[in-house]
Amino acid sequence: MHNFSKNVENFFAQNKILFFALNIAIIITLLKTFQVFAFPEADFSDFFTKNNMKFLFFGKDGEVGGLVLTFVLAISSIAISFVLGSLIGIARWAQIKIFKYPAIVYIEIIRATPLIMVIFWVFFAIPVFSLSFFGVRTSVSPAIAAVIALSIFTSAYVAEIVRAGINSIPKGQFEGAKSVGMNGFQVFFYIILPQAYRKMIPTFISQFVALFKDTSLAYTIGVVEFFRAATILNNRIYLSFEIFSFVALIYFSIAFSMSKFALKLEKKVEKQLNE
Amino acid sequence: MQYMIEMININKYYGDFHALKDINFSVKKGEVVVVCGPSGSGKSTMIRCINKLEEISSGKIMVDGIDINAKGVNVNKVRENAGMVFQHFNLFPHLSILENITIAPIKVKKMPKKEAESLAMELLERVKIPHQAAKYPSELSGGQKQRVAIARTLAMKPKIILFDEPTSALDPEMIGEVLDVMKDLAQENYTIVCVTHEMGFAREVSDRIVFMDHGVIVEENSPEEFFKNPKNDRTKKFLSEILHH
Repeated sequence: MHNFSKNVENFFAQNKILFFALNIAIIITLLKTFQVFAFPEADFSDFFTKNNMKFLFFGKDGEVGGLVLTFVLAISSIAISFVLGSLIGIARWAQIKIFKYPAIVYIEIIRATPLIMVIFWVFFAIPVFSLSFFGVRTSVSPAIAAVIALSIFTSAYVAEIVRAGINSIPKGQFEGAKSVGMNGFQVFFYIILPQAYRKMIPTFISQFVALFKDTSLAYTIGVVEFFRAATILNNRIYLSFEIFSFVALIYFSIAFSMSKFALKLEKKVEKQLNE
Repeated sequence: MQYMIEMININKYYGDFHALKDINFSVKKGEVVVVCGPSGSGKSTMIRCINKLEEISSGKIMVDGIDINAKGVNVNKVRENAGMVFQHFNLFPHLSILENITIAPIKVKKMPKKEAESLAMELLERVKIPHQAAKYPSELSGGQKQRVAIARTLAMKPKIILFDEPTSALDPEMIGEVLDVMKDLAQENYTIVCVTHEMGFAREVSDRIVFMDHGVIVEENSPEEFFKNPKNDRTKKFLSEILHH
């Protein structure tokens, strides 16, 4: 029996999408069973129609929206903030004033600002900047503004994670690397940074779980991602309880899976890096 | 006289603390010198100045004929030539044993990977742990880690090897295996400076013993004289403490 559960675990570890699909299937089944007993008033059968599901997961016909757009927002912001945040974090760590102080200013300003404000600011600032610097009247698509805002916001936190990660590498590692004749660049990129990133993986993932959930704030500037799709659907069919229970469970299921995954990685990394 | 290492009037301060006081210390080519003394006496600080892991406050250090604190001297070249083995090994935990040894030859000396790997295997053979090549540092015992650290240093083909208390962090039963490797190296052309409390090792393989206390070289002598006729009272006290326990 133990072996069987191990096999199942391995199978899903290799087939993440299948695991996710199964999660949703389980959620739907649970909700259906649950409502019969707890909420006889609730009307899940009117909610779980093909059209409603299609709208929630994929958005309107011919547009990218719904949960798919949520993933697009999350993944592109993760990619951008990983690169940008790493650069800012290294700048913050380095003892070179022209890099260090701008990085500090950036990090402190962003960390003391609510995300929703950054989203609004970026959305409304881009047309103003484009007009005053380039003389071009443009408006930016809300989805792109959201990605920029989320990236700017998360980069500040990633930068702090990177800095803390580098600081956590013991002095002996620098000395060991220097003593075999490596220059500063080699010490940093071959010895320090690879270890720092390994240590940071779990913290990165929790930051990215937060970012994944925060994509829902993009709904305020009109991005039809998963959450806004839900509100639109709600205005159409008025099954608020059913809709938002379902949406909550989907968010939970994804974020929870990510956290669990982080925990697993953390154990693996710890084992290797404890010299 | 050809000196490999020459320290002239070295002073070193940590803030107000005077760690090294007017040190004059030379090591001939191929010589094996043991540095001993109570903790806090400045022995580690002294040898760490030789590969510039510590900056000196005043004085002059010549390593293989080069003034290492002169302007324009490439410190990385100095370190290539003067390898160091640390008390806490400082192996790279994210790299396999083989990679720990090959990374510097490949990246610093631009040695082809194949060549670096066969060199690494040769060295692992020499420190008697070739079968551990694919493992990671966390899977090795302390004695094995220290032998890998020695192999890593040898891979850069240094003329000088600095040992900074190489056996102090080891369990007693593992000290022997590391000392055996060090004795083996002492027979060769390497110039060795070793900070250690292993008096057996000092007596057996060193050409000279240096005793330090409070940032000063108190006494230096051949091992026979050092153990038989210590001249300074502080040396006598140190020897009686270390040999009778």
